[in-house]
Amino acid sequence: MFAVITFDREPLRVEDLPAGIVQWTQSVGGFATIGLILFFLVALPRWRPQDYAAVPGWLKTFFLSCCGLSALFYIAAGIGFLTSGADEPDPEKFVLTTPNLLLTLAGACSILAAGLPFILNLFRERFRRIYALAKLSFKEAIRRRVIYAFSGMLLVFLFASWFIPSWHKDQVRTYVGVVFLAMNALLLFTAALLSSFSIPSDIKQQTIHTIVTKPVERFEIVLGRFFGFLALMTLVLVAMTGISLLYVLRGIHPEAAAESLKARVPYYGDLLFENTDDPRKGTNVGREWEYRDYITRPMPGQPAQTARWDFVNLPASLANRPEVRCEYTFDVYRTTKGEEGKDVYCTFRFYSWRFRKGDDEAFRKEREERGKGLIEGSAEEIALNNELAEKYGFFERDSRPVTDYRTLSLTIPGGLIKNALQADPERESELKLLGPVPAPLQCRVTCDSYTQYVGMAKRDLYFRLDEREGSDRVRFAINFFKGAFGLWLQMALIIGLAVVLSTYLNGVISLLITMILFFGGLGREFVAEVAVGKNEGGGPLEAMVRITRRELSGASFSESTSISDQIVSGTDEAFRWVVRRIIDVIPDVDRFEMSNYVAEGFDISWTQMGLSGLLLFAYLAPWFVLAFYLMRWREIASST
Amino acid sequence: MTHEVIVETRKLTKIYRDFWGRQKKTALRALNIEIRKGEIFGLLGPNGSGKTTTIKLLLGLLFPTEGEAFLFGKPAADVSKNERIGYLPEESYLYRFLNAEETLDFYGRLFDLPPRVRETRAQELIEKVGLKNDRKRKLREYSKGMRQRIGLAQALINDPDLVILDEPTSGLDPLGARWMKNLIVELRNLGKTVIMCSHRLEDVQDVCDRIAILNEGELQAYGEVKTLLQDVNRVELRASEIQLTEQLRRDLEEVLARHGGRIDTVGHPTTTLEDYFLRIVEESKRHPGRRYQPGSEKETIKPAVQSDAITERR
Repeated sequence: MFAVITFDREPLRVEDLPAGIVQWTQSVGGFATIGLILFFLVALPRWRPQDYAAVPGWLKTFFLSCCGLSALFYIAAGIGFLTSGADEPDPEKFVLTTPNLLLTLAGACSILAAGLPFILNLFRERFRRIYALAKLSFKEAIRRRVIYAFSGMLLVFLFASWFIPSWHKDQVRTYVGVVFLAMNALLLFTAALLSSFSIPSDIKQQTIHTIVTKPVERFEIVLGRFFGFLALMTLVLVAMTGISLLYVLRGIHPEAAAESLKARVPYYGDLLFENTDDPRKGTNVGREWEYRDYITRPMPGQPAQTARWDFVNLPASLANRPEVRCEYTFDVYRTTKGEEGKDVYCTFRFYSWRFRKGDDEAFRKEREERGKGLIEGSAEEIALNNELAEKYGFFERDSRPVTDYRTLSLTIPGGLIKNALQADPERESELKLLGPVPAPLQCRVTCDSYTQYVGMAKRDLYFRLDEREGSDRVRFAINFFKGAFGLWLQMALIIGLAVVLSTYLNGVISLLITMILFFGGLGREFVAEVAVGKNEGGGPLEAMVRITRRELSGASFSESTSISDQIVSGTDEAFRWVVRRIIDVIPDVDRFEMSNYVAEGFDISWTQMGLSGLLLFAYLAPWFVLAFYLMRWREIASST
Repeated sequence: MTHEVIVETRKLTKIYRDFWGRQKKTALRALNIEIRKGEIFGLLGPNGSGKTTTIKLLLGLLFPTEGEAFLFGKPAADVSKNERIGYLPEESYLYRFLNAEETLDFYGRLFDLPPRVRETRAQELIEKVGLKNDRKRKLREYSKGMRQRIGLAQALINDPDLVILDEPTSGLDPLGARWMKNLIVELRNLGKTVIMCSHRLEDVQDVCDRIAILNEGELQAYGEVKTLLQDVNRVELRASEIQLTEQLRRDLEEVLARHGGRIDTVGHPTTTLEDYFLRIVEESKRHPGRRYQPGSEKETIKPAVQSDAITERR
């Protein structure tokens, strides 16, 4: 209901890449190790001497060395974990300890051993053949008319918002929500349907016999199918996005346009609270959704509860502007009846890291003296604000209104940013003596209304890096297509999964497993909570026992002394161990969801798009290696 | 024909197993054969004898349980060998949503042929297989014979040295079958090696130089057709410009008796039904409106005009 992005977890960041790579190596390495064990136990005993002789000597040496090293590193890591007594690493909080490093090295060796034949095969692949197979898939989908049927249905869905009432201010959100939901449902299902049945149908109808008897590497069939369907669905998506955009842009209410028809580029700080029980939390007002923390105006004599945003990496571009726009969207929680038409008020104070005690008083005094007679918002007033903010490293806006469901804004002088960005070794050394140096810029918000609470989260206050005010159709349109990129990633995920699974399974089973994995991915956060035992009510067995005992809360069974409770707890722990092993098979679909940015009028950064693309690649790459082996070892003619 | 070996199998064995690795059926047992350059080699046998399994093993569509197969000196599993092979499956398993030109263009791309070569070969082959007027029609609209023709065209798109044909005349009418057999002979005349697998014995006898007969996965006979079919204990004599009379029969019996032999049968030679059928169709084309008259079946059947490749061989 706000022009604000709400996140249950932080978006992807470039600085998380190294930890991500380590985690990926461990996780994919684990699966590669399972594959290698299966190879040694099941496949190798069936090899004939000539099969073994056909493998080049250097490849055998490399493969066996990698396997040996992997085994050694796994043993060392196991000993490391046992001796250090460290718990199994939490998948959500990664720390690179020595056993973890050994685990990573073991994983890397297994990946090399399992991946080298795949990589060598890539050099034998030819673009022209992959292109031919992709073109075939493209034509097949078009000439079988599947795509027309679904596109027709999609057009009907696009107009669903005609029948969905919405508040005029939410018009853009509603329209964007509906078109993305419609595109999501139909395009993803079409993609899954097309790609699940293509290879099984080729095998069933034996058309694949005329392909694999040509000089075609079998993995080229997988790539050809993948790229063919992806190209087709991309064209459909681009066309549908264009139509949807025209649909969204026509007849937008001015208020909705001002609220969401734009692509804000926000710069966020980190939120902390002062004068509350916990600096990471404000007051809990009892709302079921614990996304926001609340502050209120204390009774006289009590310290003022303050929400503080620390802006650490201030962009230098902001310093060159006369005014910097700061937007905020807070939630109001009233404990007493308010006055009709009257808002709740907050005061915003901005401090540079060079601020000294008393600078605020000096600022106010000089501002009052020199600002007499100046018209608010005039060039002279802005110049004065800039000068004083740069001089004192302080600025404030008193009694700003906070209205439910509305994004409000204020401006601060660019001089304040200039002050914050200036080097000041003397002040820095002074501050270091007192403790940690504060963030270059801090924004402190206090509530001015008694008995009323104002709720806020990290992303409820931000500076606008873009300068454009009001609605901006061009940037919105670009952002709309960026939002469709998220859908494209989901499509690529589904097509990739379905094509890979269909190299071994029949069409129906491939489709089912693809959908299970995808929908499992939508609930991956919950699965991750279950895997580490963070969910309420314990594991599945504990939850079941609690239901039979009619005790919905209480101490965890693991802390109980009862033997039956211990057995239940142990069983759940074994279940969690299994879930932790398989959780990486589930795609992190939430990372590819970008339509909420478009709906709320926030820009989707190129970095975020790149990182999401990288995440998809990292997820699909092991699946494609699996497809390579499944196709290579499959007796194409035996299943007919 | 040279004696250069193009295909060689050494104790080639295929045992089908179930999911748990239990033996289900031995489809082929220790097959040792050699196929030479420039010959037409026939694989014969009843249904389930292992003919198609052998072809699939040669093409790498199945993996051998034991033994090896080499084509052009490379193992059957080597993808690069396919550069020199053309394969026509039993049913023409092609993409029915493509037309003839698109089909050949697609398979040409799989051979990484340059666009100009692809286009030229496609046009030549479409003309060769007689589909010039139907080249824009989707394959789903083709008759079985037309699909077999386009199937053969795709097998020849790379100008292969070895052509493998699985039941090439299956489902074709006599005209189509004759056309196919002529083409096989023409391929051999161009220096290509042809392996064909069929249970239509007359087709194999018509075109093959050498054959292998399989039964229940075992090789039962292997060698040149002429040698295998020759009955050395019997003599066939054909004579022309003479009437079959009682006197002639007695004279022949006397001569043969002097050499310790006897007459089994004496009579007028008959042509094959296929030749007769083709001649009738040919004549009906030459004389439109001609129809069957009662009693005409008693007319003397003259030997077929020896104008095509197959009858020339006889």
